[in-house]
Amino acid sequence: MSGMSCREFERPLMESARSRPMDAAVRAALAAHLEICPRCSRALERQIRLSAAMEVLAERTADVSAPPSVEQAILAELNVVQRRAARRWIYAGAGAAVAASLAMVWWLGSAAPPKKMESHAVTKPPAAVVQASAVVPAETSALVIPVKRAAKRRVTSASKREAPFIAIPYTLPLDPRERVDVVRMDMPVAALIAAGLPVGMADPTGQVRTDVLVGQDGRARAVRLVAIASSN
Amino acid sequence: MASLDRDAELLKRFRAGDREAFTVLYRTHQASVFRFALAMTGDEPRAGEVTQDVFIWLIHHPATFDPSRGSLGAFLSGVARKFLRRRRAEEMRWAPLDELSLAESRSSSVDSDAETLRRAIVALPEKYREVVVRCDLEEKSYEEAAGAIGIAVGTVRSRLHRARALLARKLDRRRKEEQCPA
Repeated sequence: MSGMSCREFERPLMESARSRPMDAAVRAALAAHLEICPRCSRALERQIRLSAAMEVLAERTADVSAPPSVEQAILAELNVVQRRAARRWIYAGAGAAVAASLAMVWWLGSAAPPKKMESHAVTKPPAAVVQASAVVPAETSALVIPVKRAAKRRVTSASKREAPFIAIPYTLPLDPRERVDVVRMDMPVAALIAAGLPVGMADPTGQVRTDVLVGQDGRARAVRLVAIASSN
Repeated sequence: MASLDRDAELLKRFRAGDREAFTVLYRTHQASVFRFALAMTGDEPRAGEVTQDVFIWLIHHPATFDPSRGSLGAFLSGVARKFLRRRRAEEMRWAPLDELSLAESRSSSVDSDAETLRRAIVALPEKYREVVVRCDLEEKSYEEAAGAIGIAVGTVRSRLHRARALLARKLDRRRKEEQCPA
């Protein structure tokens, strides 16, 4: 170590001034060199002064922080970004709803069998189910299905536009809480006549478009005429 | 490790729309980012602008932070470094030559060693300035500084040695000027 030049002590000198841990042998060699080298001693002094100034500078800036205006600007940007993101979600949601509606329409259109025009679930049986007046036997003629007021109002308003359902003779009466389906289909006039329903048509070979009320057991309970579909 | 988990969790919450989480992150890390920017620029308004740039960038790129690669503090310091470099490049394009080369000559005779040093650090070439800020002002180890800057540990040592030699010479010159003013 004793034969080391000033150049070789440059780094140990810096580490010593920075109070960094150093190998004991290097430290001893540096101390020995400093005793005989005034140039390196002066360099160490300068480095120690630099370290002291560095410490003061670090202490001075230890507590500094960004001015409040920076936080305000950042929070303002945050508002803008979050508002933009919320708007994106609304647009995406609306788009998804439209897409879902279109898919539903397409599915309903393509999934229904040719005869079955449309089908929709009705949670309550319609109140406007009446008996087939001319041919229905006495025991089924008093087919009155009680329903809750809200459901009644809804169905009544619908029945203002459409004909009332006529109960199919000899079927079980619908329970007021029974879930029913309404299935739209074309039916032969002859079948309706055979079932005892009053169809005021001259041509028994024709077909009529009907809404059939299907109970939870899958059996038809009532029917109403919608329109004449075709005639043979 | 706990702070790393906490920062990752806060960022996750922010990505899920929690504004308060970002505010906490900002208040935790703004001072160190600002201090680094201030040490590098020597100018408070510019340091504030860099801090703002860093956090606005984080608002837009929260997914860029990968906790497995280090702490959020180190990550933000790396982002600040990039903004400083970009800013420096823009300033270099427009600043007059004398302003760039003689920044330290403006210090007054009453400046303390620390003030002289602050100006001298700002006037150092960037590669030397950064190692001084990391190793001496932020008191990071050579390994940490090397990781933050993206250079070898040996390069950090040699740059720091060179930078400190330049700074010591400037302090010495300043002291001589104060002792015998021309």
